[in-house]
This record gives sequence, C-alpha cells and structure tokens, in this order.
Amino acid sequence: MDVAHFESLQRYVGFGASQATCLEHFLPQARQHFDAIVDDFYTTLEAHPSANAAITGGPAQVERLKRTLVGWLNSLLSGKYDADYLTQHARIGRAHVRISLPQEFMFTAVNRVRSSLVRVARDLQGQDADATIQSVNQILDLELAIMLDTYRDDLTERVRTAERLSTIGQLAASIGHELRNPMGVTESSLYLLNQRLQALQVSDPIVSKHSNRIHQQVELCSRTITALLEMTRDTAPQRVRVRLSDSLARVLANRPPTAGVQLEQDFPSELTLDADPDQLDQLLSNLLGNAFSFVSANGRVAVSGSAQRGGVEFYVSDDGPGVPESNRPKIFDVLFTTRTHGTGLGLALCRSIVQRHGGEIELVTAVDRPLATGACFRVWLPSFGG
Amino acid sequence: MSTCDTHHAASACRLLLVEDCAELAENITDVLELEGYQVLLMGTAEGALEALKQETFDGILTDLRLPGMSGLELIRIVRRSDRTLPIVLMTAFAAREQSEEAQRDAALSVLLKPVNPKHLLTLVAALAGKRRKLSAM
Repeated sequence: MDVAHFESLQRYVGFGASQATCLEHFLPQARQHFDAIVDDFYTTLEAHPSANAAITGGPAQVERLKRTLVGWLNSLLSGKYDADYLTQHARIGRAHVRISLPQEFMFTAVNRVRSSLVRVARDLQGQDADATIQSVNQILDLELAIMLDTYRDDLTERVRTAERLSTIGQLAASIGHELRNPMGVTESSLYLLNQRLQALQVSDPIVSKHSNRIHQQVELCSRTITALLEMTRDTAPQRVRVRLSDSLARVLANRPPTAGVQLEQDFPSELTLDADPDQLDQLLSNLLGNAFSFVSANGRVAVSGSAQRGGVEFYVSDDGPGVPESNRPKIFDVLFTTRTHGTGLGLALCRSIVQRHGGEIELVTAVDRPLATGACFRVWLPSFGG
Repeated sequence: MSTCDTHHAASACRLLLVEDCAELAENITDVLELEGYQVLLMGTAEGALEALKQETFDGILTDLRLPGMSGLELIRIVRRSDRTLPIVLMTAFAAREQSEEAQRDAALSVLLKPVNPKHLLTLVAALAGKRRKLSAM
C-alpha cells in the first residue's frame, strides 16, 4: 500500500484532521490503561490454542510483544497518520505473515483492543466521547486495511516463490534422476577400469591423474544435483540445539576459504542456535561461498554473531565490491545471478531455509560491522525458549 | 548364508539385482562378480518376483524407479514372507518416505545414486553380516 492509497482510504471512512486531533487528545487518558489493555490482549490470545501457536518464543517473546503493542497503541493515537505511520504499521502485517498467525485473529485481536479503547473513551464527557469512539473505530478499521494489504502482499510473494520453486523442483528432480544413472555408469566403469589395470599390473601416473580427475568431477556433479534437489524439496526443519562454531567448522572443512582470503570469526564460542543442522550448514555454506567468490585474492570475510531478541543473530560480511543498488531487490529471487557459473539458487535457498525456521534474512548496510565495505547479510533465527 | 559376509566366501553369496538401466546393471554386476558374488539380473520388479519363486537369494539390490512395479512395492511384497533378507534400495533421491521405511526395516539400506562401487561393496558385505544377526535373534 502506498501513501496515496492510504489517504484515499482515510477519506473513504471520513477520517481527517479533526479525527486525528481527537485521538491525539484522547492519548493521555488512554495511556493510563495501556498496561491493562495489553495484558487483556495477551491473556485472551494465550487462551486460544490456534492463535497462541504463533507464539513460539515463550514468556520472553510475550514480554517483547507486549512492549511492541504499547508502542503500537501510542502510535495509533499519536494524531500523525503520514508515510512513516504507514511504513511502521505495514511492518506489523508482515510480522504476522512471518509467524504464520491465522488471518482471522487480526480481526479478533483488533476487536479486543477496540472494546478496551471504547470502554475508556466512554468515560469522556458527552460529545467528546462520541467523537472519540467514532475516531477510534475509524483508525482501527484503517489499521486492519493496512494489515490485510501487507499480509496479502507478503503471502502472494511467498506463494509466487513457492510456485517457482515447485516448477524448478520438478525440473530438477527429473534432470537429477536422468543424470544419476549416467554418472553411476561413469563411476562404476572407472572403478572397473582401475581394477582391470591393477590386475594387469599397469601403473602409470598419467592414467592415475586422469582417473582421479574423472572421479572428482563425477563427485562434483553429484553434489551439485544434491544441492539442487535439496533446494527444491521443502523439508520442515528438524530443529535441535547446534553451536554456530560447529556448523561453521563443518562448512569450512568442505568449503575452505580461497588461498589468501582471511576469515574472521567474532562470536561467543558457546553461541548456540535452534536450527536444523543440515539446513544451517547449507545456509552458512551458501553465504560464505558467495563471500569467498566475491572478495579479492587477499580479501577478508567475517562471521559475527550474538544472542538477540529471543534468538540468534549473525552476520556474514565481506570486503568485496558489495551488491549494486539496482540488484538489491532481486538477490533473493530464484535464478537471479550475476556470476557466469552461478546457479541463481544460493540465496533463494538461504531465504527458503530461514523462512522455514521462522527467521529473518536481509542484505544490510554494514556500517557497524567489522567489514563495512562489501556485502553484509544479517540472519536472525528464533530460539525455542525465546 | 552365514558365510556371506566373509570376503573369501563371497562366491557362496547369491544376489538378485533389479535395475532397468542396462549399462548400469551390467557395471554393477561386474563390480559384484569381481568380488566373487553371484548375480542374477532382472530388469523389472515383476521379473524379480518370478525369480524369487524359482530360487533363493542372499540379498536383493533394487532400483526405486522401475518400469511397472516400483522397487518399494517389490520390497513390501518380499517382506511379507521374509523379514530379514538383506535389501539395498538404490535411488536417485532419498525422500523421507524411503528413509522412514529404512528406519523401520533393519535389513533395508538406502543407497543414493550415482552408485559408488566402493560404497556398494561395503553395504552389501555389511548387510549380509546383519542378516546373520537378525536370523539368529
């Protein structure tokens, strides 16, 4: 939703400057009841299993959400309904998609707030009360309009990505299947050839070299196909507690930095995440693989992280050329790549893994990171206990 | 049967291979025969079931995707009468269904394609050994 559309909706419900002022005047009185409103809101939510299922972070997450709700109430009655308001409130719709809150609970939850605010407004005198109640109703309906709009946008985007992945998945699965038999034939023919040479007592360095080379290349093809299939099957993560350092060590054993490239690690050695170990490895491997391929011969790559907001946040940054502004919106898209040998699946897979974990991934401006010049990816994955 | 896991006596070990890709089937047969195993090759699961009626085998290696009946269906039919016969299911794509099947079935292993000859030989030897333990139980 853009500002113009938001303004047109305001006109539709008859919400103008006087209604905005009315709410602004109501704020000091309403604010005294915010704690009670928020408590009521979450007590009701917790009593409903299907709504409460969206809260996976336990009491700590609820405490955070309560603070967010107080902030939302303050902003709701602030009297300012501009572009900033829209941006800030649109984020709430997205957050609901992310935690998979059933959509109907947006209405029931807003209804809960509505009842509480109307009750408080009734204590105002005469005409003030009527005008305030009407303004509260109008702004809450506008709020629902924003939430629905952003919810739909995000959902559409998710469905679109899933559809593209499913098409690619079917293609990948059939290509994968078709290629695995020829590779198996190559591999076993090579084995039989070597057995034969051994029996004939032939030992030749050039034969050995090329035999090894064929073997390695078949292995490489096999790994590529496995990654492609992995990308497209939407496996629910089997989340367990894993140390970031262990995952990183596994990834680096398979994908060591290019010679000359320095890898800096800046996170507590005991930092643990609640993630599917294979998927976490894949995520780190793809992010690091990108970083290693984009930095110069003596470039630097950094992995930093810490416990944040009921989960773990980590950054993979590098001092390479960074991502041009024009590519930024597209980098997580399936099949988008700027490299000749890129598959365009790496970051799309990263996003898919993070989404399956209910986390967040974004390309950020690395101002406060050790390597501020190149690309910097921020990943946040929620923890079990919040 | 109990001699099947020892390298020297692999000649006593008779395996049924079910694979529809002719070149791969021939190569796998060669790899196994080179180690001393006896191999009977069938291109379909239906053919394999016929062969199982005629003679006994010490193990089955089967592809998942076959023309007609699938490898998984073949395994289910075989299991009705023999719960410990070692079976290796070769598949290009280990889906959850097959891994779960293999978890429930101690004598079943899943081998990911492309078939690596060394993995194959290790697996066949290990399964034959396991058959001995399961039969003794």
